[in-house]
This record gives sequence, C-alpha cells and structure tokens, in this order.
Amino acid sequence: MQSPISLSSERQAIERALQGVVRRLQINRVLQFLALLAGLILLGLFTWRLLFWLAGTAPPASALIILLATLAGIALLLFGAPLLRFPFDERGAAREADHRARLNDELVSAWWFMRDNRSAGANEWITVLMQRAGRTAGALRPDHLVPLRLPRAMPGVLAAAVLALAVVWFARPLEAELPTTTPGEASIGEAQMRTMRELIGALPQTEARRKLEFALQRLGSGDASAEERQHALALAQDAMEQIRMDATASREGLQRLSQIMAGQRGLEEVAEALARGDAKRAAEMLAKIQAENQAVPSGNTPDPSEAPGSQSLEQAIQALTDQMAEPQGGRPSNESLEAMAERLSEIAKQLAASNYVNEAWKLVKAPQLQGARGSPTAAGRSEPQELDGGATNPTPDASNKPMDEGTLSRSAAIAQGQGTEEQKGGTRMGKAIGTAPSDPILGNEGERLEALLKQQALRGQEDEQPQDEEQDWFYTGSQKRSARREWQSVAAREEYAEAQASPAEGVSIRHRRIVKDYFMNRPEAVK
Amino acid sequence: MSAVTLSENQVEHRIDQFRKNFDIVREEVSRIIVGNQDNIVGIMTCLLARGHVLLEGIPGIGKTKLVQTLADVLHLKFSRIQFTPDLMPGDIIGGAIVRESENGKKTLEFQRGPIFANLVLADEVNRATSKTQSALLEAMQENSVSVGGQTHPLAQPFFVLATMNPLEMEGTYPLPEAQLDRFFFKLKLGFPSDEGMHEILDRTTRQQEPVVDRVLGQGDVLEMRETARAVLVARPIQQYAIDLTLATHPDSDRATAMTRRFVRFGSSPRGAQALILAAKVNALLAGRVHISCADIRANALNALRHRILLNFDAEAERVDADAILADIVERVAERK
Repeated sequence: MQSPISLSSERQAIERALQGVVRRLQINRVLQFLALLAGLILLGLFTWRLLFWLAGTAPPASALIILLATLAGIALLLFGAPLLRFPFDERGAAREADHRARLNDELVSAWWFMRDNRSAGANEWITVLMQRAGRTAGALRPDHLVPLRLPRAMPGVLAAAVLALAVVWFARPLEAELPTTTPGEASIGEAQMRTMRELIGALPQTEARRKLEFALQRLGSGDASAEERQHALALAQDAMEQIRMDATASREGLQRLSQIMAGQRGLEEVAEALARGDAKRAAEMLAKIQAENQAVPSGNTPDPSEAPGSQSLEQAIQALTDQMAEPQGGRPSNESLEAMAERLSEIAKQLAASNYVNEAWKLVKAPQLQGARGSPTAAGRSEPQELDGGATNPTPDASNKPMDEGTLSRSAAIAQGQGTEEQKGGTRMGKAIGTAPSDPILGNEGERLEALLKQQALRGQEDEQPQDEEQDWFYTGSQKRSARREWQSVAAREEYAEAQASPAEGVSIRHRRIVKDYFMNRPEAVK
Repeated sequence: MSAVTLSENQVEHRIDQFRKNFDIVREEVSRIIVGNQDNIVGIMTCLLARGHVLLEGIPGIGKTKLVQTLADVLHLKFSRIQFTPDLMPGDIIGGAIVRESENGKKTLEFQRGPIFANLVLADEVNRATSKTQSALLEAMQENSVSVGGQTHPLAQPFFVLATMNPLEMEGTYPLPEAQLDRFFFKLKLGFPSDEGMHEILDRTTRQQEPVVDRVLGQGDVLEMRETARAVLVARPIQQYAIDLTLATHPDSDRATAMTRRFVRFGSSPRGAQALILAAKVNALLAGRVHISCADIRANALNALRHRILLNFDAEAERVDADAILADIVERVAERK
C-alpha cells in the first residue's frame, strides 16, 4: 500500500502562499472599507455645507454628527459586516489566486485534496498534483498577485468629492447674495417712504394728515412689533379714509358751486369746469375773469372781515352767492372772485395730493396687509373699504354714492380666533356686514345718532339762515332773498335726500364722519 | 497495471503519452476530414470517455467518412448500419441460426450482428422503429447483447456514432428524450466553408486520395481510457458541474430565467457524468492531472444540449438549447 502523502514542504508552501493571499485580500477589503467611509464622510460634509450655502445658516453640529454616524453605520453594514461574517479563508484565497494567476483551479484542487481525509492514502496523481501545486505556490508572490489598490473609480470619486467640498466650503452663502425680504417686515422702501412724505406734505394740516404721518413713521421703523404695525396700519387706513372723505366733500362742493354758477352770465365755462371736477381750470378761469373785471369796477364792496385766504369753500360759496343776489347787479366782486379762485386752486392741489397719496398708499398698503395677516394678532377681517378717492370726475350725486358691502366703516381690529373680548386699546377694522358676531363697541355713551344728524341739519340751516331775516317765504322782494332761498332749496333737497337715506342705502359723505365718531365713542355694550 | 502503483514519473509519462497519441490521431484524421476540428476532438473525447456520440448534420458532409477514418487510424473494427424502417433488431445485434454439422447434427449458433465492432456507425437511426432503436441503445448501455438467454459482450472499445438526418422527418421515429440521454455528446456538423470546400474537392477529386496510417491500436485506446479516468476531480470543481446540471432544471433554485421560461425538463445525472468525464480528457490534453471549471465549461454544450427538453415557448420563440446552455454557462458562477 502506498504510504500516505507526506509532502510536508509542498503543503507548507501551499499554506504559506494561501495565507499570504488571505492577508492581502483582507487588507484590500479594509482599504475599500476605509475608502467608502471616507467617501461617505465627504458626502456628509458636502451635504452639510451645501445646506449652509443654500440657506445661509448651517444646521447644528449635532445634525452633522448624526448624519456622519448614520453614514458610518451604513458603511459598516455594507463592508464591515461582510468582513466579519465572511472573512477570506484559504479556499477563497486559493480561488482568488487561481483566478488572478490563471492556474486553472490548481490551488483549489490541491487545497481540497490536502483537507480531504479520503485522500490520505491516495495515489500518485494526487502526489503529482501536490508537487505541482507546491512549486506553483512557492513561486507565487502574494504582494504581486494581490496588489493593494482601491477600486478603479474610487480615487476619481474621492478626488471629485474633495473638490466639490472645497467649492461649497469656501463659496459665499446663497442667501448673502439675495436681498432679504420677509413678508410682514418693513417692505416699505426708502424711496416709497420719501414719496409718501412728500405727497403728504401737500395735504392740508388736518388730523388725518397727522395720523397718516404718525402711522407711516411706525410702519417705516424697523423695530416696531407686529402689534404696533397692526395698529399703525389701522391708523393709516383711518387717516386715508378721512382724506378720501374730505376729497369727496370738496368735490361735492365743486358740484354745488357749479350749479350756482351755471345761471350766472359769464361764469358758464367756470360752471362747466366745476361740473367736470376740474378745480384748477375753474380757478384759472375765475382769475382771468377777475383780471378782466378789474378794469370795470363793480359796485360790490368786499366784506373786510372775510379775507380771501381764510375762507372755506362753503364760506366762499356763500359769499359769492350773496354777491350774486345783490339787487344792483348781482355780479360777484373781484375780491370774491379772487377768493374763490384761490380757494379753488387750493382745492385742486388738495385733490391732486389726495389722489397721489391714495395711489401711493395702495402700493404701500399691500405688503403691510400681507404681513399683518401673517402675524398672530392679524385681523380675521381686515379688508378696509376702498373709497374711490382717486376719481377726478365725481358723479353729481356723489353724496349718495353707494358703497360696496355697506356704508358704515367701523375701524376695529379683531384678534383672529379670539372671539369677542374687551379691547384694551388700538383700533379694529372689519367689514360692516358679515356673519360674525358683532364686536363690543368702544367709546362712551353719547347722543343718539338720529339726534346728531338732526342737529347737523338744523345747524346747517341755522348757519345758512341769517338771524335777522324772517322766514317769510311769501315775500320775495329782494333777489338776495330769492337767491338765498334758492340755495336753501338746494340744501333742503339735499338734506331731504339725506334724511330719507337709510343706513343700508347710504349715508351722506358729510355725515359719515359723524356716524363714525358716534360709533367709535359709544361705550362697550353691557352684557 | 493499476494506477495506484505507478510512480510520479509514470504519471507524467502517461499524461505525455496521452497528449501525444491524441495529437497524432487528430492530425491523421485531419488528413482526410477537412475542418470540423472541434467535432473531431469531440468524437475522440467521447471515445476516450467511454461514451457514444450523436451526430447531427445534413447528408454528404462526411459523417461516415469521419468514423471510418477514425477506425482506420485507430486500427479498430468498423461497421456501418444503415437504419431503415424495416430494419429489425436481429439485423443489428445478430441472431441465432441453425447450423448443421458434418455429422448432420443441427445446433443453434449465434451469428453476430454488425454491432459487434469497435466503431459502429448507426446511420439515420431515427428511421428505424423504436424496437430496433432500443436494441441498439441497450447494447450501448450494457456493452453486451443478450440473445437467446445468452449474453454476448461487445468488443472494447465499443463506440457508437449515431446520426440523425434533420431534413427528412417524414416517416421517421424520433428518438425519445430518454434514449437521447444515453448519448454522451451530441455534435453538430456544419457545412464546410469555402476554404473547406476547396480542400475537400482537392482531396477527393484527384487521382489519388490521401490514405491514413494506423497510428494507434486497440490497446492504446484502452490505455488512454484508463488514463482519462485517473484524472483528479476536486469537490469544489465537481460542485460546479452539479450546479450547471441543476441549472437546467426549471424548478431548481439555481435555474436561470431562461431555464424557467423555456425548459420543460432538465438534464439527468448522466449530464453531470458527461461533464466530468469530458473535463478529464480536456485536462489531460492541457497536461494537467486535475480538472478545472474551464474544462467543464468547454464541453457543456456538447454534453447537455440533447438532454434538456424545451417547452412550447421555446419552439414558438425559436430558442434552441444552445442559447439556453450558453446563458447558463455565463450566469452560473463558481462557488466561493
């Protein structure tokens, strides 16, 4: 019987070669794992820095640590677990060596016959195999057979990752290049503020102008809180509304003046201009007439107590009417014409300023409302009524002009979702007509609204009526009296129409302020 | 002489002798047969692996000439059996005849049939009836013939080369798959190229045709067979042959997508045997004492193409066994 295979030297050579190959393969796998880990770390840093570049602020360091830990865990699962669970063994090393050195499975076969117990007393064919494999293994150089190298694409990928990381690391954040505009913050630019201030300067010194200036100052400041902005916005809305109402009242006055002048010889064109609402043109024409009349002295003596520059429109109209009612000629004096022309010029400027302010305010208002809606105390119903303050050609019956969704404008800011609760201060705005429960009314108890309106009507009548004149409409002796009566009839018709107008159909422009103040000053309802 | 007592030098000598004899035979056969070098190697591999070959090719491409040349080179007895529909089993294996002696005594004597040869060419085996086919196949399997209760062993080496005409299918009896499985290899003979045609015409249309020499004898062939059997097979390599065989089964976990789609039945264990034995001859030709996975892959198509049964989808999409086996060889990896 053939003796068992000794072949110790061949065995040792084979085992030594296989163990060398195993080591090299394991080192290669560790290198691949480290390269993968480095790539994942670079990816994590790149992602972190990219977020910083996009948002301008870096995520917290803890987020980076968590991200890197997650990526390292993934790398461990991908490479570490196989390394631990499936380590390279001699059989794998033999197969790898056969493949790399093109040995036609010589080492695999030799390794197997070395381990196979049935081959203990095997034939010479196994001996020949072992001898051949031993020589082959002895000639193998594991370092040449399994060079330490990364996957072919890995160096390029790592280099690209490093380059990308360097680019985003040193790049300026994207947010720094873009202008920061946040809705709700001061979106009023300096140019718009300047424009508004200039336009407001053209307005007469009224309470509305002062309110508007104050509100713009608050809205333009960068340190105002959301509530302060809300309050300033409401104040500005209220001021704009008053400005519009004043402008509308002026236009109505122009209409009345147009009607008065329509019957006067030589003033027809002025009346037409006034009917169109073109106060500037009317003033120019009156100035021209006044210049023409200076050559022809009139018999009318001016009233020294009535300085031309200090008269209101109503007073100027009244003075003009009185002069036209003179029995001697009935033509207005030059001084009256001059006063009227100056007044009309001022009115024209005021109307133009009101238009410009109104348009400018529309541009300024929109972002403010957007920010106001976004604040926690934004009004749920914050859509102030838009009056058509920009119309240059008001309709003749503008006093009864209907308003969309009610004619009452309550300025009251309602805290969204807070229901009805006592208001500590500030103003509130909201639609007059709606399905929401009414809000508690502010202000002190005052006179009834009807009484206030009647008082205004009576006051108007009293103002118009001279104290020493008897109300004897049976005697129409003087033209002055007839002119006065004519004016009174116009005023009466107007008051009658106003009196007939219900709150749902419309409130006269002149009385809206009264109504508003009335509701503003009423005390809160007793529960 | 048992391989166990041989020395290492004798092993080397046997390997060298094997390669040398193989090359001599191949060269000598190539003097007559033009081209088809792969098929010549395949036929010799089958002969040395103790298998039988199924040749497929159109008539007139030299199948008979090939086997006859091989028999002449190896100095083996050659017989050709032309299978016809009226061929009986006794026409193949022989039969008992009554022979009268000089003294008038009549005895039954078995007269051997043409199958009692070393190299048998069974031409157009699919033309004979199943009964006749079975007689041949049984002899191939058993290496003996049983007639009249007596078993007559066949001469060794016994090598059958069966042919099937793929053109004329009418009136034929296709070999069933179970019978096809008995063949070691199935080789396809293709039509010669232009160069091959020139060579064929040059050799066969002249006054003198080339004649082969007898370079080997029966003993050499048997010795070569023994040498081939002695080649070592490691278990991991054998596992690869098993994986390839099981990959032809659609319900196996090692089956490929094409197998699942187009194969109805896979190869039997004979396919794995053919893979290993053919790989051994391959290894010897490469001068090795062990087989490798590459040796197995080299003969996978020849060893398995006739052992898998395709389904209707394969016929409808005209997918043949070679495509499926090529896909299996490509996808089935060696185990780590």
